[in-house]
Amino acid sequence: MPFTAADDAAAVIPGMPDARFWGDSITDFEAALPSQPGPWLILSTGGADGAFGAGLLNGLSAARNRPDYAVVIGVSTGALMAPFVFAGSRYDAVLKAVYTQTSAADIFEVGGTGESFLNTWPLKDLIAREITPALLEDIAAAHRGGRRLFVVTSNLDAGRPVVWNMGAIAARGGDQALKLFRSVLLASGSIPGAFPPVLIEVEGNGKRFAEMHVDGGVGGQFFVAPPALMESTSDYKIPATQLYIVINSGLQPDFEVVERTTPTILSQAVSMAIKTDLRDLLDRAYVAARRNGIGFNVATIPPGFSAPSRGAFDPNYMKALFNVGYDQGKSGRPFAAEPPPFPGSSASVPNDPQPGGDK
Amino acid sequence: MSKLGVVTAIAAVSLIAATMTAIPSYAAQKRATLVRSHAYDGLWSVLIHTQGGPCDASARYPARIVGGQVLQADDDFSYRISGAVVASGAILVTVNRGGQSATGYGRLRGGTGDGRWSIGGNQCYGTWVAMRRAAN
Repeated sequence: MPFTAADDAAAVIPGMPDARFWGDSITDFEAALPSQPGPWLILSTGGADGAFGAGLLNGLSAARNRPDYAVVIGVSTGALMAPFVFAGSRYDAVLKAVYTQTSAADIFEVGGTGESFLNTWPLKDLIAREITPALLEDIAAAHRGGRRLFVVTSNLDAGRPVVWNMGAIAARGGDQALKLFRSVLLASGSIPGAFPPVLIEVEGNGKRFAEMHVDGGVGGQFFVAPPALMESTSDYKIPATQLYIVINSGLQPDFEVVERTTPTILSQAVSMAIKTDLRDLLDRAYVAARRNGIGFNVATIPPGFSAPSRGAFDPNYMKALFNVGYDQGKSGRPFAAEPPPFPGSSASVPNDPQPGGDK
Repeated sequence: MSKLGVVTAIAAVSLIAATMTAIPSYAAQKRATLVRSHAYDGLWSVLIHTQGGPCDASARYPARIVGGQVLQADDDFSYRISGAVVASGAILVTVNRGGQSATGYGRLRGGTGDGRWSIGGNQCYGTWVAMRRAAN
């Protein structure tokens, strides 16, 4: 059914008016937050590199150094791991299995759909297997206890980010809530062009229509708060005691002689854009945390990690990355207190190969 | 001839039999009916594992079988898939992608199947498993 910007601006999930809010709405964001400040966990995009975050969080559990985060916010692969993290360390084994036993064939099937190069019915099946009614009950209980689980998608029709209140959805219970919960996770990880968009049924101004949602990373590789609250001139006080940001990516440029094929060129270009976005967002989050007097903690894939990957979602690569994350999580210093320096800054490691260093 | 070559040859002979024009005898007509079975018709998904060589660790391709012929199941022109399956379930499939050609052979049984695949000269090789996702 045709719909207008006004219809979409007013649209809600039928029967679940508290299921979501615009990611740029300050009032809705503040209304959705817990009543008490606490530590926040922010989980970034990263695809298969989500194995790093999964390992890190397992390692933090093993070191008994993982609090019950007051707020967990995930985007893309960060969204896929967020429900397990939010529900507690008893789901660590599931989290580990998802990020070490999953292959490309469990995520997508080669072949265009008319809306994308690949078909994600395997990922949809994987989400349906792992996102169980029991998991939703645990998430609902934590939500009722005052904690919050948010997942970000991008509403392509509106060109705006959407924050889904996954705890509120879980608390609704029933098949409709379970189906929506799974659809939101699929949408949050649906890289536009590569993966098909996810259509979500809504109601606005008396009309029922389907919005088109894609990867939350389109609007930013991670989400702490609406951009207007994160800008350098804002005097907003983030109601957190600590920010823990898990970057499921390395931040160093990766040298690769690019094959002259469309997918390879797109992939390398997107990878470069993502790293630039990650660095800018991290810098902004650091400034906001300092301004607010709250702790800033960031974990990224160490620059030395260089395991080979045979194609996308290579389980051997993901196992190696999980182990790196696990060791870092279990170590005495799992997070850094500042973002890694930008390339070219005096504190950074040179990226250029050294003469004679390529032997 | 290597074991791989023998099996491939057997599969190829089966396919030639499957695609032959039936000669007008009762036995031949009966045989043609058997080989032109629709038992495997439908939309299949094939999961490919690489055991050796520098190819991707795994991949999944769709395929459609109609009257024993293996056909492209989508409009993706980045690869081409073709082949045939006979009434016994023996199957031979070729996938062309990026200037390379992979050949797979094996057997379908009801709604599942498995076998082996390779790229010319065993540059890459491995196994495949298939499942039927829809009857048509």
